[in-house]
Amino acid sequence: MGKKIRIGFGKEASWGPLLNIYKTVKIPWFMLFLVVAISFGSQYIAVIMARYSAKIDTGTMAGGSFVVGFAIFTLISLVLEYGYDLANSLGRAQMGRNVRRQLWGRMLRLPMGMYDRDEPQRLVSRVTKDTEFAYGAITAIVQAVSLVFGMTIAMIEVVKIFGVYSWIMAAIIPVLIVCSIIVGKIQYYIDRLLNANYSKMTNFYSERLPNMTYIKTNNMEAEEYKKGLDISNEKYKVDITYKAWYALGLPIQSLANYISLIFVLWVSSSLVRNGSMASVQMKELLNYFDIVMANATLMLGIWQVIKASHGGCEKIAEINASPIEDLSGTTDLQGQHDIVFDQVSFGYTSEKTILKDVSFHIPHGKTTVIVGENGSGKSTIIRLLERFDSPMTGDIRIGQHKLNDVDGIHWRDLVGYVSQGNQMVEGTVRENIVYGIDREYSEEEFIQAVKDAGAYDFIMEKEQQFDTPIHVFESEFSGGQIQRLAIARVLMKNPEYMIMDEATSGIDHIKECEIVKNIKERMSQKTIIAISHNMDFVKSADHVIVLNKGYIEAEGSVEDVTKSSQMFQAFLKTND
Amino acid sequence: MESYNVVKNKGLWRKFFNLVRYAKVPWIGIVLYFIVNLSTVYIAVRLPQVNADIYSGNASVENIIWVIAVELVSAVLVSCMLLAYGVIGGRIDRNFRDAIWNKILRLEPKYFDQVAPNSLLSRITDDAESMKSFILMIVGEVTGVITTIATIAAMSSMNKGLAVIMVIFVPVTMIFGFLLGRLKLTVGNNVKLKLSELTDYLSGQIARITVIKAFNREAYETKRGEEVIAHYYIAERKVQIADFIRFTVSGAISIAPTVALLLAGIYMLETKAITQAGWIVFYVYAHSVMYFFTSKVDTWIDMKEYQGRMNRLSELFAAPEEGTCAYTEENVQVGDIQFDHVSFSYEDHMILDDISFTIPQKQFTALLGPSGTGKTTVLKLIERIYNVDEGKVLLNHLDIQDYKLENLRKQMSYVKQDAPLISGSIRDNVLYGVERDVSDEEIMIAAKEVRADEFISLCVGQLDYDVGQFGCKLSGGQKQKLSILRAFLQNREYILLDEPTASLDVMAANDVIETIRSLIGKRTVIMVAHDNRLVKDASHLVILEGEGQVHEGSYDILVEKSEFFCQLVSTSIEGD
Repeated sequence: MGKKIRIGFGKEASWGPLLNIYKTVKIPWFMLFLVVAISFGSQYIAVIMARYSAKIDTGTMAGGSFVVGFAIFTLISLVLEYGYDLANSLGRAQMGRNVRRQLWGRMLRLPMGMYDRDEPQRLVSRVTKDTEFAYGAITAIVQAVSLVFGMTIAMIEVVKIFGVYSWIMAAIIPVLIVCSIIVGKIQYYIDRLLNANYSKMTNFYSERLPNMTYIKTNNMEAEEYKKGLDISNEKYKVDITYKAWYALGLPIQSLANYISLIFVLWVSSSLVRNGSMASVQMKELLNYFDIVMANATLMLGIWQVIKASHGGCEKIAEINASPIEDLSGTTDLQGQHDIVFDQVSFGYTSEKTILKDVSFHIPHGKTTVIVGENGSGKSTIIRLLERFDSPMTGDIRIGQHKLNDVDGIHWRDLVGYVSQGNQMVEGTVRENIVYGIDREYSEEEFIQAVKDAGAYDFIMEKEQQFDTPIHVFESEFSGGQIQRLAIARVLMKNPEYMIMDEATSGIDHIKECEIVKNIKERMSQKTIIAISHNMDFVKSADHVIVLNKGYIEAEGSVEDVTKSSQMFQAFLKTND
Repeated sequence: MESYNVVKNKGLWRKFFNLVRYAKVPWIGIVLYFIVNLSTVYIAVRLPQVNADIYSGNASVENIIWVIAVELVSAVLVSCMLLAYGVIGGRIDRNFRDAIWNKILRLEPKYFDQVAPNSLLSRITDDAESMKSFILMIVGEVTGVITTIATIAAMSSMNKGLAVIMVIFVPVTMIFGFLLGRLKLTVGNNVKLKLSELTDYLSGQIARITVIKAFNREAYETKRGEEVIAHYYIAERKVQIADFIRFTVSGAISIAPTVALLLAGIYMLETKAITQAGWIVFYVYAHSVMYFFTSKVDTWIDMKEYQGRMNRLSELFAAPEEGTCAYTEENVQVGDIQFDHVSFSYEDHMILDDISFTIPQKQFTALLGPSGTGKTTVLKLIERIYNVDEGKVLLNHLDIQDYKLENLRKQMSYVKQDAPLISGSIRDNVLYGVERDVSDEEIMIAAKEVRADEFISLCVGQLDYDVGQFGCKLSGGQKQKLSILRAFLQNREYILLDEPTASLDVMAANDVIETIRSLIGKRTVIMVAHDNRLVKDASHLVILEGEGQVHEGSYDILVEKSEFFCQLVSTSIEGD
């Protein structure tokens, strides 16, 4: 069923952002021009064809020229019909491509806050699906104009044949509108019902399918089958309800059509009977009448198309209008500097701050470890260092310079970041490891980095070795292996400042020690900032920062903080 | 990833008859639906005759009333048939969906290692509907054949010459149709492939947006994105052009028989070889017959689609189920677990090579060893998630294969590294797989024992607190505690823990370790350990060194015997 179509309900969104899409994205004007030209042409041909088919359908055609004319016009109408489809769908595809490009480029450059507010995966369906909506509104307008044109020329023919009776038919227009509104409302409600139920069912299965062993080890197969029956039966009921209302809506939608058809048939046949109209004219009249009614029904649907296009584009328009990440800065940094947090506060809302007036420093060329409970603000510090977020108050300084004055692109080049989670992108193993370096590299250097990260052996076991593809959601590497790949990547980058956020948590102890040793050797004279719960790592640090619920509890050497921080003492004790 | 190649293998009917048993098709309903469908045959044959009467001069009141009545009856009939389609189709969908879900629940656990959950989801949600579509398509086709036969019968009694013209042209148009239809299938599948590539790329990269930003790869990814977007556009364009060619060419070809008919008709009308009414009827009949034959191309394309879906479903239904082999012991007597010369390979990769060791009852056994030596596999073999290739796993001196699978699993609770939860309350989740009635008091007492009471009492609604999809409203530590609480409430003899603290931060891990310590002495606990904190608590240690090497015994013995263990307990990062 795809996306639900909104019909005049809910809060009205402004039209400005939608129009803005058309300003920023290249519109396929040539295809649009073709669509306009063809749709006018085919409306015109439709009226001519009505005359031909009336003659055939009444057995009143005669002569070779009739047949030639019929063949030519049939061919033209064929080419126009499918030409319209081609131009229209090509235009849609081109527009889709252009919007996608624009949107993807923008999505990559949004400030990080945007990704947290909107689930990133839902942004993807914006790019793949919603982009199609952008073209809908434009073609709908073109279509509306051509429909009016077609109705007008068909109506002229109707008036020619039917005379004064034509105007009586106009009385049907209010019926047509009322019926359309009723059917529109029915459609809106049943679509919503269907969509809600569909996602309910999908959620049920999609939550269980990744957890099948869990169900099995708990002996829950029978119960889960029963639950599945209920969900499935509910879907069945909704399916039937949908079809029942749909079946009811169909005759309502055609009510005006039937009333006027009966009127036309009745009146024209009586005119034929009293000799004031020929049979072929009656057939012609019915053909023109068909054109008028079909166009009228389509016309009433146009507004819905524009509304759907507007609704579907809402999110795209919002992304398109939102500001991109500002990383500009005036200072280029060279070499190593101390990092200083000076009375920094941060929170996603002003009521709930995560870091509260925090001051500490990270000495250059040393290893600093940040210790604290979950939610104490460790990861926030890293996000601030990466400039994913900016402090609400206070300053972060790199040497003499405020971090916000440093050119962000350049700063991120100096920093290497490894986290606990999966950090692989779509691409091969090699592409992932050399991700982020623009310079040339030698194969020896590459292999050495991979070996130092403890990743060499398991990569070589794979059939395609360094060309093994990595898919973000279907990884064939284990958590610990992926962490080692991420470490290899940062070693290739050879940063001035290395940030490790529980970067070795999935690697077995002996291997972990070996890798950490390699990292320290490579990063000697450079700065390491680590979040770790590995006791050995913490004890070997030059500098320790203890965070407690958003405050700094202690800062200094291991001996210093052991003396001054109760939390650090507790930490040492539970880990012994 | 799904395969979108054109389905080459035959056997649609055989697969259909194999699968249709599972769908519990409402045959009586289908027969009724078919009978109602047949009434359209009468209308299809009779309506042109009345129309011919009208347009050849007899626009009598009777005839006009007949036409109007047919219009109205058809409208009612269409609505009724839609509803019937909805009820019958919905029923088939539901029954088939349930059968697929039942099958999935019975599959061997290793099936889920090989097939991505998302692909299984589309078996239940999308592919399941192919059964309904296929059955009802057949009903429609049979009706179409009967209509066509009736029409041809009526035609041939009218005018032999005209009928011959049609017979000549039908095969020509059909051959062209099928050739062009092939083209459509090939390019159409390519679009699906490119779209899934586009979606994979976008959703993968957007999930790694922090990496892209941290490594300054925005421009690089924009370019890669544009390429994938362009590939999809090109595939789309091919389909659109192919469609244009297909429809115009086959449309143009179908003009030929019409023109031939017209020429012959004009001649016959002039020579009075045919009456006006005769021509009118014949022409309408001829069109419906030609339409029937040319539309078979679309039927064929649909069949290919169903064939693909049914192939996938046949594969699913052919996959082996678990617990189907004979057992000799209904009930399980608890005791020691022994691995007796066990070998196990996974996808040609030898994991356990002739391994023997014992897990004593009511003790706390820790499984240790370098990564990749099969620690988790040991737990899975005990749970019979996998089965051994050679050797035996004994429980109380009996091969676990001899026990009834269901009852064997009822003796075991399995706690995974990433504790899975399913939407519902805390109560639902901790009672998952618990067969007896448990009061809230008992849950809270147990929670206290495993140190989970504190956070539960802080949740709004306590045991009624909704954990969210996949338990997303809880932290990793909280989920893990609930998993252990469930294991505790299940009251089963063996508790299998697979690195229960690996994904937790230090404070949460400490809590969970306390929880695990609370189990010691009460149950037989078997734990795969990745850090050495809980090792000291273990009364029995099993060390898998890889390549068939196993050591077991107490802490003191193993420090002497196992090099790995010795290294493990003495390694630290400052070890150099």
